[in-house]
Amino acid sequence: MNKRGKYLKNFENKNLFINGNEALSYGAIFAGCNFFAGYPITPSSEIAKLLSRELPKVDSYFLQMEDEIASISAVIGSVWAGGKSMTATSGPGFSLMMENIGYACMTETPCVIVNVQRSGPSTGQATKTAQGDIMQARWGTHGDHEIIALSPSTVQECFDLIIKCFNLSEQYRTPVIFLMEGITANLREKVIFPLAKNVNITPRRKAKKNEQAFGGELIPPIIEFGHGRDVHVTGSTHMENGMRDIVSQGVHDKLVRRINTKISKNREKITVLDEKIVEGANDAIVSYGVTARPAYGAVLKAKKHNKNISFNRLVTIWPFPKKQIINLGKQVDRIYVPEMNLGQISREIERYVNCEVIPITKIGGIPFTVDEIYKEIGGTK
Amino acid sequence: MIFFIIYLFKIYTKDLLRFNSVVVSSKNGENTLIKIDEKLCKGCDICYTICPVNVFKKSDEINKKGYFIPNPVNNDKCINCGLCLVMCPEFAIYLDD
Amino acid sequence: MVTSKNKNPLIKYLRKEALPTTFCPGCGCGTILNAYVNALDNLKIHPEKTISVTGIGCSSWITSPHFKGDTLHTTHGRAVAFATGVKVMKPDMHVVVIAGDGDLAGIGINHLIHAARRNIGLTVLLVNNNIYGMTGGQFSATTPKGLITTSSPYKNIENPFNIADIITASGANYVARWTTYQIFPLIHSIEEALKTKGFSFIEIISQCPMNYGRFLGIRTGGKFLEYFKENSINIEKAKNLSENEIRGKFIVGKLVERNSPEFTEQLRDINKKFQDDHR
Repeated sequence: MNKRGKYLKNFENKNLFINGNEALSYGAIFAGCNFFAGYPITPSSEIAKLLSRELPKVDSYFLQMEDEIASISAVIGSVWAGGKSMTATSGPGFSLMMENIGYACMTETPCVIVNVQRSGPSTGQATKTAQGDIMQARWGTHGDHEIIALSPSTVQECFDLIIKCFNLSEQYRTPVIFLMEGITANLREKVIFPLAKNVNITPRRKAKKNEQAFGGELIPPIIEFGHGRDVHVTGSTHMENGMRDIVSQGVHDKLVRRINTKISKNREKITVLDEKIVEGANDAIVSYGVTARPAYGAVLKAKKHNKNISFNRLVTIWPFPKKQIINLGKQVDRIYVPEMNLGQISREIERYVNCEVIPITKIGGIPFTVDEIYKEIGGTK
Repeated sequence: MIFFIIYLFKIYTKDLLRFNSVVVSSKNGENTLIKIDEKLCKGCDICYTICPVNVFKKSDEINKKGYFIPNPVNNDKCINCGLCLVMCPEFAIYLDD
Repeated sequence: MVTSKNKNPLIKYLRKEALPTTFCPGCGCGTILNAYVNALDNLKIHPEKTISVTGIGCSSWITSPHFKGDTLHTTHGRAVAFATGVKVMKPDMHVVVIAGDGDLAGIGINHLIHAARRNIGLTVLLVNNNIYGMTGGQFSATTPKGLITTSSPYKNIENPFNIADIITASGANYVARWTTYQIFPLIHSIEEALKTKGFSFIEIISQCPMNYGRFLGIRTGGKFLEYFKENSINIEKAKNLSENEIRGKFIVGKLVERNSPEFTEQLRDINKKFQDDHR
């Protein structure tokens, strides 16, 4: 058994009382992460702290880089040299990483970027929580691109979903963003660790001798460095063999459409929702992340008072689960969208539904309570 | 004449030796033919500027892209210093038997 | 001398479909590519054993797309940061960064200095043509003061960096400066840099006859080489000269050679601590 296997055996039959940062760090090790490059930023510094201690135990590498741009650069470079890599940051660092996230999209580099959201814009409330980077995760980098972003609501999900992030990144050869909130990062809950052998890990599909790394099929296999294949990786528009061609319109059209289609076409396979639809309910709540917890609490409270509300929690925020939301919009008169921002997902929902969309916004670093949401959805008691 | 050329070469390479380098050793009197691949040449003036014995002269001949190709008129004077081979930005110069 | 039918024998290291190069006639980039493959050929290093990492700019086009072997053409200024990730995962390969002064000494100087500080086993060839060539001749961090350029029509009021000195001060294991005129010492220096274990750095002062030469009045590659020849002073000689005598000149030679421990090796040493116990 290799080092990682021996290390993971220590978690067998263990339930630990840990916080979100720790849970996702252990999850990354379970997923096979062997390279982390990061820069300290509240509230994600703990991820780097734990991984700096644990990654050497599984013969993996931890690097503290000079800034977030260097962090994401080192992550992408390491992937092409054979690594399974991750970085973690918060809003300001996430903004810095945008150019190279676009580079990862264009070169189809599988990697995971954790954004532990804090109150913005700018330095904002550095130690307070928010959900303000939702649209940025989708559109932060320039040009036409698709992105996959997951959002955990519990500390257990921090563990489970980070593994899913790594799997999605390998399956769709794309960077995946893990959008969590500062509060979940610091929240302590019980995490049940699975047996390492029961963890499903998507292997990296490497190209055979006659396969190309940048075309030829919807999701081409990757060619890592060091195998004598003369791989040419560039952020410029390139042909199927990776060589740059910025002149012909057809090459750019084919490439950019393909890297968008590979995700948008598989929207339904990728999107995961926690749906609790009630037949005949006139209202629905759509929420995500930590806000989903008091939102569901409000749904339960409403039920006690004989009001049925459908509940929908977005686990994958991007690509947006448009089919499920369109269906929901047809069944109800009103969709409430509680968010710790000034209405980012509510705007996205409005595009797809004809019913009324009522954003419930709260900013300032204090999360929603059940009563706050309950009051907004018409609850009086 | 040959001694004069060796003398010139030594003066020139002394220039380079000042920089604590290992100089390519020359084989004097070898009959090598200097060839220019006109598909690659861009008619910059580096080879005929750098050649210590003025093998090259700019010719009136232009290639398909309109560059004036250098002509190794004084091929027999070549002292095999290797500068043109290494300096050419286009890898256009090579030696043929 | 190796003779060959029909082409320069070192073209075997290049991607034939990329030739002729996209460089301007007389550009130093082609000469540096030539020097680089000569150095690899002398050391018998096959392109398969190298990973080229480049940034954005004319000099970043030296190995990408012309040179064979695995290539990572990254974003502006970030080549060294990408190369850090590559080297950690592939410590046995030669990871060579070739980029320009605008790229490495301008936007990317942060990453360059930190990599030198870490002494990570990269070989960095900074092609210094003292200008932002590709975008039309804007002044860069190494453009001399007082020069009129595309973005300094009233003369450059900024002082230039002495980039090789900065890297020396940052702790690199090998630092040298040459111009494209001193081609044989340059090839030898590249060989030494490739053999160096820690961070090796060569500032190669190169000619840009198109977008820099036009501000200096030097319009061809050959004239530029003569300019380098006349204004280069060997570092040993420069030690005995006054500041006035060396101002504006190119001080060439090996600046420093150290034997500090290399970064990725130390990183692996940390992991070795956990060979037997895993808690």
